[in-house]
Amino acid sequence: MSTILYEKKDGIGYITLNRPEELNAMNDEMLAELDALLPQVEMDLDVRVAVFRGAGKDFCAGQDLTGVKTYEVLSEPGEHLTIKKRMEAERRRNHRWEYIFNMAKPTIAQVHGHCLGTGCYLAMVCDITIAAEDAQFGDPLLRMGLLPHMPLWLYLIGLKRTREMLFTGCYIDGIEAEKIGLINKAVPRDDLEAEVENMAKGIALMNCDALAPTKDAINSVMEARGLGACWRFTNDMQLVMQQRTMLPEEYDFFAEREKHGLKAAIERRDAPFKKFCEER
Amino acid sequence: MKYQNVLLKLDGRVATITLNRPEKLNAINDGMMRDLIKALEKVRKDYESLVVVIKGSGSSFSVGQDLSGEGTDEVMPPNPRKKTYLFDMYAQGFKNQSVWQYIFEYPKITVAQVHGYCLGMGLDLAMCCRAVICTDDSVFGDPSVRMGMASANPLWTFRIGLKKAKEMLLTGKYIDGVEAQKIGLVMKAVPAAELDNIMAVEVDSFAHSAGIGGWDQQGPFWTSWMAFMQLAGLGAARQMTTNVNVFSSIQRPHRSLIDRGGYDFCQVREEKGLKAAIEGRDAPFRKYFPEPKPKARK
Repeated sequence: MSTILYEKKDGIGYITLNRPEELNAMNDEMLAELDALLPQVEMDLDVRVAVFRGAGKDFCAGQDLTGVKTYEVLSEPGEHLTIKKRMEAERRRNHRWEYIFNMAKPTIAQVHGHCLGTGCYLAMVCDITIAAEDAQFGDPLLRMGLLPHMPLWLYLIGLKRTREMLFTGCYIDGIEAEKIGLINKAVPRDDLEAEVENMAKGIALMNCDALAPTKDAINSVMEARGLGACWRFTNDMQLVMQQRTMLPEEYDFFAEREKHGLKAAIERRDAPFKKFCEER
Repeated sequence: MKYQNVLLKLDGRVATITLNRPEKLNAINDGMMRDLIKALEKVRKDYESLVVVIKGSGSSFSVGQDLSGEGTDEVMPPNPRKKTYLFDMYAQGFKNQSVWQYIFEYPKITVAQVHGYCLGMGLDLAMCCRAVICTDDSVFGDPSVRMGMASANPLWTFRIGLKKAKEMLLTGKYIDGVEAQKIGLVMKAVPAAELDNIMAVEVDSFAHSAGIGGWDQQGPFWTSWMAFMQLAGLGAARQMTTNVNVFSSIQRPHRSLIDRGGYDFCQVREEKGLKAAIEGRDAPFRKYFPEPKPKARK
């Protein structure tokens, strides 16, 4: 594996997103490796708890937006795919989140630096999230005309907060994220690793036959609260959004990327909002 | 009517039910559960009372289910080693659940007044009340997972959210009243010396608002509130958590992987007694999750 590092220690499985130069952005390769690795982690009885973390300065900046080998994470406007093809791809993306959410094993996200878009989704589907106080959470998808498609936003931070975050695409830091319930705890950057290790070791004392049903009991409540239907619904909305015709005055991320390159396209995407968001 | 395990006081608009097995830290056994329901039924029919306070006598609110294994056939799952039929496991599970549902949907305003320990089933009881007011040094938690059992209480994610619910239930950790207020598990955590006064004020205010527009106003209000909870999935959630709870309690150490580092509570209880079994259950976790203790009082 090259984009994912995996290490077992003291009953804990450390899954490290490893594309530090690209802020651990998720591309096809990373997802394929995750897909291959996770079932093994789930079945491994010596691993009581799985920790997701990022190499380098960030947890994960989200989908890889380069458009190169990103079929699984990003739908390009130029693609003329049939609705069936698009649906297959969407279902696969969704299935991945649901799978991690329901893995029969506790999962902890150890978050520092950027935790945006699908990176933030990954942190959300983990059972427990512990983050550095200066970590940045957000979902700027709407700024590119794409639909944020994670129903857990609503359950974790509530209707009003979700609207605020998704409509503006603004980022919040770890302290704010703890306050609104997006994460369990924000700690100083230097304490992050120790804090996560402590939590993981504590959970690793438990036997897996107690942990799995406990997690399942909580998740079953979420199913009863409608989460299952919400996955599907947001998923379908995402599909609809992909099919729409862009307005003339709309910011065309993909055209901008074509003309000026990725970095400039992201900068121009975010620049008009700087005035309104207190980004830290 | 006489109650062995609870005290009932009817006093105008406020009824008080006191869990009364102080020497057992108000551990809930079959008798107490039956008495509690009987007392609640009596208050329900008393047209004077608008608010019910549930509290504990002695040093704690309640440490949860009575784990002694005696007189607990109804509140604890049957011992899976006694070759219980699955049917019996479910019967017990759903009977328990109907008790919680009864308390949760109780038509008068229920307030839990918590001090000392409020654990496991004691916390389930408090969570079913409409409001919880506690001392800031109270201790809350549900250590079921440390005994291999999944909590059957579906209210967790509704009360404190998904992330915190998982943190509490996957670790079995204990938190104090201040933390409990921060995450929304209780309405208010107050210094012990002020608990009685603050309770009196709050309960009076509840009783007052319950009387606004006439008591009958409470009926439609509460019915719609309960309907929202049903629409939000609470009913189905009860069925599912009960199901998983039964699954988890039926696993037998020699049949499952529970002895792969799992703690065999029943075995240790048989060999060394209840106190040692509880201590052995919690001791390994203290290193990772500091365990708050209620302050000692005279």
